Amino acid sequence: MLQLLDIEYNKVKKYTTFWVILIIYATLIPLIIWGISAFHFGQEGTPMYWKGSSLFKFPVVWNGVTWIASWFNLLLGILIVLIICNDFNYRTFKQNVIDGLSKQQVIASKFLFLLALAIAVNLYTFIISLLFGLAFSDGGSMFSDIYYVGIYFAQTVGYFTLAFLFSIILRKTALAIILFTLTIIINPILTGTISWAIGDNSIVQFLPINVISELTPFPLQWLTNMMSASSDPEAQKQSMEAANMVISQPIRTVVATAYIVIFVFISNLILKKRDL
Amino acid sequence: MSATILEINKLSKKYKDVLALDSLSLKVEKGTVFGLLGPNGSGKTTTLGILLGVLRQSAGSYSWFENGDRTENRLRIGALLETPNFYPYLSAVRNLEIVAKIKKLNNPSERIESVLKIVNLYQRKDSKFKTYSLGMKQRLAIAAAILNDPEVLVLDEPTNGLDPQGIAEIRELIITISKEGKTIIIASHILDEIEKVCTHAAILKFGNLIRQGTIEEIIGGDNFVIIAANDMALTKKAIDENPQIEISKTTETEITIKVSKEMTTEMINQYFFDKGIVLSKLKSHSESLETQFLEIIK
Repeated sequence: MLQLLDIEYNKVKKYTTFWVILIIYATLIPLIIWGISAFHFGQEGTPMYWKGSSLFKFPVVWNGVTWIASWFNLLLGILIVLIICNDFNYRTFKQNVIDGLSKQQVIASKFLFLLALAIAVNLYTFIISLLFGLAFSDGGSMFSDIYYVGIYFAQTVGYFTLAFLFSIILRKTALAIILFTLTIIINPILTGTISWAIGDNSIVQFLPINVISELTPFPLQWLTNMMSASSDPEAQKQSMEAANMVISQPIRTVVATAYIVIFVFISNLILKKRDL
Repeated sequence: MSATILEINKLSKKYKDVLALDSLSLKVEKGTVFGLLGPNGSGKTTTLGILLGVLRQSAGSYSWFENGDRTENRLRIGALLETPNFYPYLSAVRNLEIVAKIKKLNNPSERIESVLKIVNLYQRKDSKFKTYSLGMKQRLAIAAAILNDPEVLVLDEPTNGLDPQGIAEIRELIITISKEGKTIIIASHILDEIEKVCTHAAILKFGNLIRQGTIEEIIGGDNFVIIAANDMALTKKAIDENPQIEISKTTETEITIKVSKEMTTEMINQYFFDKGIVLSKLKSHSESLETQFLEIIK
């Protein structure tokens, strides 16, 4: 297993594009958080006072940062497409097999690398959340919502394996990037159309992209906290339920994991059946 | 000691509606230099692709080292299939480091330097692969194939894109490696290449095995001689009158004749002289395999 990871790491070690995309990702997130935290609205002391940095107080920060970080999963998904399609374009998947890996090992090495990248990304998000949390908090339970980091991990792996599947099916970088991006862009339209057509919005919640993207939902807790002065507890409770929609977070994580297993299973099946 | 390095049993490969390989059976013994011959599209690369695990056969089986088609067999093989495949943004050394990791070589840096010297790429070892010329890319592929000092070397058109000097160097290298008792399998349509280095050969056409044997067996007991004379018509008539001489190929200016090994050029010259024909050209054909090959695949 370490041999496979080592091989993959050597493929990207001197690959400039890979590092540039990672640096863009790593720079944008703290920049945006810093931007939001500097923003405020209304008169201090009034119920309408809106302060950006409150999104980064413990424990909301875990939801806040992962929610912001999730916008950039598209970027990382493209990175995954790039490193997988490269091996098709350069015919190096083929060469790796000729040199002595099995097709299973080839796919396993990419999957392991994708997991390692997801772990690195989550570690980074954890550190960013912790730092901003420490900077903006005035007490509050530090780790009560830390499960968002774990959920964010499931989300990154979900997007990564989808990018992985598209790359294996299409083998062409441009096509796979277009399909991956379109899937994410078209998803809300598709969701809206289907739920309108069948007059029910519960089934569409189980569409892969909805399951995966809603793992890091908009930090509603933060919004309701801010409005707590003006709204009654009943309305708060209702909006919380609306936010959770039909699927609770634990069930959502399980469904997302199931999708991940399906994506990897199909990728493996395709590669096994097909000539390299 | 003779051991079977490779055994192919009724291997077939079907692409949609094309039968690229039709029930091929072959055996390659240890220490031989085995040539896989055939025109373009005859199934050479398809065969090697299956043997190297990148294509799935439609039927049949193969066995390396009497150990079946296991992945780990390929760690004992060095192979070059079709094009040189490397990461364009990595240098020769870094590309070979990846190969070494796949081959599970420990401390490969010395070996990497030495194979780069063998293929004359040492001066450019830190240049990115994408800056290489076609010939240099091909050399790097050969360097990668010999990196782990494999028991078997599989080379698909190894001299593709090389200049005459490069071709001669690779030929020398193949002969040197075969002298170490290694087995080499070469696919090529350049017959001169096969004839100069191979001990055994198999000829493929449209996915079928046409002939297999040692190079001597394939070339047979015949000699090919190119002749020419002022009166070509008379010359042809003289050939027809002698059952020991057969026309293999005619062009406007010369005739290639097939004669038995016992018949020397001196005897041929004498025969035509007796018929009143003075030959303006009499040359024993060096590329007899080529002539034989063209006859076989007709």
